[in-house]
Amino acid sequence: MKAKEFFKSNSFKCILVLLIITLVCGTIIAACAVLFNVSDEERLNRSLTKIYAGEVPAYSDVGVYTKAGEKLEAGSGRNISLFHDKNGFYPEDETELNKDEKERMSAYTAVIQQVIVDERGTCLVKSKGKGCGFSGGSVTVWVQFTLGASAPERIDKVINVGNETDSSQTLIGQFGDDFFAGYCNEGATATVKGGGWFVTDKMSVESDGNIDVVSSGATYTSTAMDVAVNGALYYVREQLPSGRLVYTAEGGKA
Amino acid sequence: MAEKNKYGKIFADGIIFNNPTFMLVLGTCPTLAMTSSAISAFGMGVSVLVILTLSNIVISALRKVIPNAVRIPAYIVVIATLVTVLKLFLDKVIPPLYDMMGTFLPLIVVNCLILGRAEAFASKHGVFESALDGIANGAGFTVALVIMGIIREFLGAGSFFGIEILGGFKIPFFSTPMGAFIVYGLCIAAFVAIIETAQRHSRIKKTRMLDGVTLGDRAETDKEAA
Repeated sequence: MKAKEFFKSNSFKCILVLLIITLVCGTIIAACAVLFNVSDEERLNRSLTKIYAGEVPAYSDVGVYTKAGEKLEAGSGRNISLFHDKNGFYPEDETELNKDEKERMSAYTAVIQQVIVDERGTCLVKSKGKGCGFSGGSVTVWVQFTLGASAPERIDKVINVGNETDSSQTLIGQFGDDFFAGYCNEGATATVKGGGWFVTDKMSVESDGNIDVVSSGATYTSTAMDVAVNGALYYVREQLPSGRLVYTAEGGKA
Repeated sequence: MAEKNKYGKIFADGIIFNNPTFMLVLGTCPTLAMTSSAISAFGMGVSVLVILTLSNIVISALRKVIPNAVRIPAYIVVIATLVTVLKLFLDKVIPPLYDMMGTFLPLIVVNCLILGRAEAFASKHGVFESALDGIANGAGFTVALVIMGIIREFLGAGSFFGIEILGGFKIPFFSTPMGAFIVYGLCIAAFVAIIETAQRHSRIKKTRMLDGVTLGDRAETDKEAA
């Protein structure tokens, strides 16, 4: 077919129409993305409103630190590696596992993205269970802790913020309040105080010694939730004795 | 008058006689997933109504421009754009609805009801008729979802639009997917039975009226002959 014939053909018309439609639609989406943009601060305010279910107290962003006490840049996040088998979760740097045992277990990563302490003394940790959700997606949660002198006393609330613009977020159907309440009930509080970790059992809700189990119908995504919550729990246990999880009025925001 | 009847027929077909949920069984995924409560069902229904109406309008306006060979990809691009715009709008303006719909908001793109109406109606009719068809089918979808949502929420959670009315009594089975399928099947059976009964009565009434006219004409003819 000659060039002139091609430009007069139906095939060219099809390609041209598709291209034009795609360009116009792309432009419309880009314009709407700017028009309906939701800032990070607005997202944070929404999460805080959900957590506090009403008036949000003054808070300060205390930043994310490494184990050595080095403050990370805002937005960079800290990775915490966790091993998992049917008996529970094991933080990599606290676990005396040999190479064979590590190979047998599943390895997960929690990313601590933001830490806030409010004037009432509760601590909020934004944690992401990375790459272990449905189809290798991630899950991001805010976990609210009541702090004791040297260890967290309990988890007050867990909310999912998975529907952010981060494209790595896994698709989540409906994880209702019943699921997240499993991190806050009596058995869960005993787990937090007793130094245990959360493990999801897809079949039932049970409290079994130091390991509390939460029921859900979505195995991968609920495991990702556990990774995120356990990562936040690990971080608070590590940082609390250092005195960094303290509200300061200078850095406070109302 | 004929035009009024035509538009009335489009509405009646969309809401009742060709109800997309109970008669055509389209859009089953959001129907089962979003009807655990009446509020979420209503939110999903209204979202689909908006997307369906807008997609019908746009596709009808472009129907003479889009070549037949690439109509499906073109329709999907248009529908996906509208869903993306709706997603951005809800995230900014109505975040609780956005959170409630979760993953089922982007899944509206692959709702066969929307592509089906685009292919079956919007690509062959004018903009105004296509808009009416979108509104009618969207309203039919919304009504169906809300009916299912009310039933499932009442039985499964003992509440009505979030207000507890059975004092804690509930049958959690109806909040599960199994319960959703059973309620869906029963609603289809009831809807089809009601429509067919009404249509049968309507046919009998028309037949009697026609018989009455025929007998009356014959009596007059006989009188004149006499």
